Amino acid sequence: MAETKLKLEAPDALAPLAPAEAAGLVPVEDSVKTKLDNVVDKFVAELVAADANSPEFGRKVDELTNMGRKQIAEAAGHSNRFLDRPVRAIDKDSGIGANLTELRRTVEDLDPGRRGSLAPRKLFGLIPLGGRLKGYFRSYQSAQTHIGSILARLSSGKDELLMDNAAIDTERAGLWKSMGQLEQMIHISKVMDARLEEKANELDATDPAKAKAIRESALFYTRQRTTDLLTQMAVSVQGYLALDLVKKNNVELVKGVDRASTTTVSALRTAVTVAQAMTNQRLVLDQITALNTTTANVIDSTGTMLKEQTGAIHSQAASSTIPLETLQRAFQNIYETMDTIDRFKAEALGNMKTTVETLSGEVEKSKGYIARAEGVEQGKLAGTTSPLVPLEG
Amino acid sequence: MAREVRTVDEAVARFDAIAARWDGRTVEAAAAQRRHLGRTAAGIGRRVVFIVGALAALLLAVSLFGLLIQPIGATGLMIAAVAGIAILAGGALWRGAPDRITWDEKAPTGKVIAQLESLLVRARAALPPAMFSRIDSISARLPLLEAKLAEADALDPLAQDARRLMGKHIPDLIDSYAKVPAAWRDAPGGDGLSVDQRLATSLEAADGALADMAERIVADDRRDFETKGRFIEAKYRDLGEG
Repeated sequence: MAETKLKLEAPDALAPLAPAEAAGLVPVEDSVKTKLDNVVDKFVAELVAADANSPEFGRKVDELTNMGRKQIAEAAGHSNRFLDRPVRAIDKDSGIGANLTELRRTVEDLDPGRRGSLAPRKLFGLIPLGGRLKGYFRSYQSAQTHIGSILARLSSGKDELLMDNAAIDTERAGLWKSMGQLEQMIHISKVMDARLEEKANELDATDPAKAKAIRESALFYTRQRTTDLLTQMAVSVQGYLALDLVKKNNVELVKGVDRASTTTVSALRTAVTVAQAMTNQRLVLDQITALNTTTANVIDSTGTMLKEQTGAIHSQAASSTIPLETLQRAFQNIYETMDTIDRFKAEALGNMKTTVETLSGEVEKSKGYIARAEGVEQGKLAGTTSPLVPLEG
Repeated sequence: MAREVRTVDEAVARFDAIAARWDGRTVEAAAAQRRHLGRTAAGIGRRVVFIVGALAALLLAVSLFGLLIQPIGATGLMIAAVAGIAILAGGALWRGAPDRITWDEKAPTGKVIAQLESLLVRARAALPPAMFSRIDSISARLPLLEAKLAEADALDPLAQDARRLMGKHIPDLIDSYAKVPAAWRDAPGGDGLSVDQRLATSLEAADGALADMAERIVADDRRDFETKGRFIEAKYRDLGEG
């Protein structure tokens, strides 16, 4: 019989990412870059044309201090939401843990291995003892409602995990968009930095006062904004990766839950066959055995492998001379599945905690910058619309 | 053939469109005017209810006194007449809710927005015609913000910002604009902008901020919808095709 070992792998914890490494992860098209370069050139030309002491110059510098504020605020909004997810993922697993424990307890009561007197070697050929065997199989009937309700709860817990993953996908799509905008702003601020530096060097000979003003205000604020943008970008990128991690954890857990349900139902089906073979009585467990065990549309190949495996156990149970051992093996499958889930959860929990710590640190760092950006904006209701914005699309 | 009107909202929207054509105004201005008139009518309604209620209570008191204790006589009639006149005078002179309450962080959102809308309708005539479209644009955003902010948590920073902008900053801006005599509004200020020009840029910024807030609030609902859609697709799509 082909063994299909359940393997649940906890994704690795997230490593911290330096702000300098954050840029360039989301591609910006060359045509967009050219357009942004033109905007920067125009802005720098206007800035240089203005008198260094004029309100016009001051307004331009204000635009620089404000550069990317909206994009940072938007990306920060995402960070606040996504930080919540891994934390919740640690705190609860939709009651799945408790349900699995309950399932294990219920299933252990039915385990033929724990009812020594049922061993087939002792019973083989002794008809009078068949009564005890019948009693054993009757306990399945009384347990089936309970098992059925646990399986239903597991299935609804699985739905919660799927819903969580759908929310993560939505969040990641939004995050991707706002990272694209941040990337454009980073491009703007880096080009701005280079152009301002160039202009200041040019002006050193002809108009040193303006060169100084450009270096001390425009260039200074541009560099500050570059740092802010890169910091937020690092947070967003890590959040994006962390969300993927939570999603992978959920997928693994869904796999585990599916497998636990399938092995349970498979064991009960085996019991039906074994009962038929050993006591010549029909064990009716319609409520459970009718369950569709191949709900694994999320988990691709596992479903098919399980189907084959279940079929194999089934035919073996009917033909084998030692049917109770087959039943025993079916129970062993359940235990193995649950042990694997437990191991996975312990490992995933550790990795998730590391990730949350990394992320919290990054988000804290970026909060300082956001506060500063907000401070700049305070009391600045009036003002012209800045040209320094990312392009749509 | 005229399109059939199915709902009250459609009928109201059509009324706004017709009223706008009739007055030569935009649909948004007509809708804001209608909501403002509605609130004024509600104020008058409350006043009428007060007068009718008070007069009925007086009549009942006089009748009971006459029937149960003793006939009211000429003096009683005089007192009742004076009381009746006092009720009528009180009802007529009662100012009702003030046009402008002082800003308070805890003021109910509905009231803050209703007040801004009424202020914009009243102030519209006193503003330069170039501002009309901006004022209308702001007015048009208010019903959605009112509906959404009512559901939002009062401590939500976005909701707080929106309330402050609508309850304090825009009204203050318009008030302080009104204080500048008309003759001085064209003269350029320190940075080259005249009072009218600054009003235009300020209202533009306020309008933009409200648009932003509305977008962010709606984005939450959109995200929620998107998630539910994704879930159904993830869970059921393969089952349906199979």
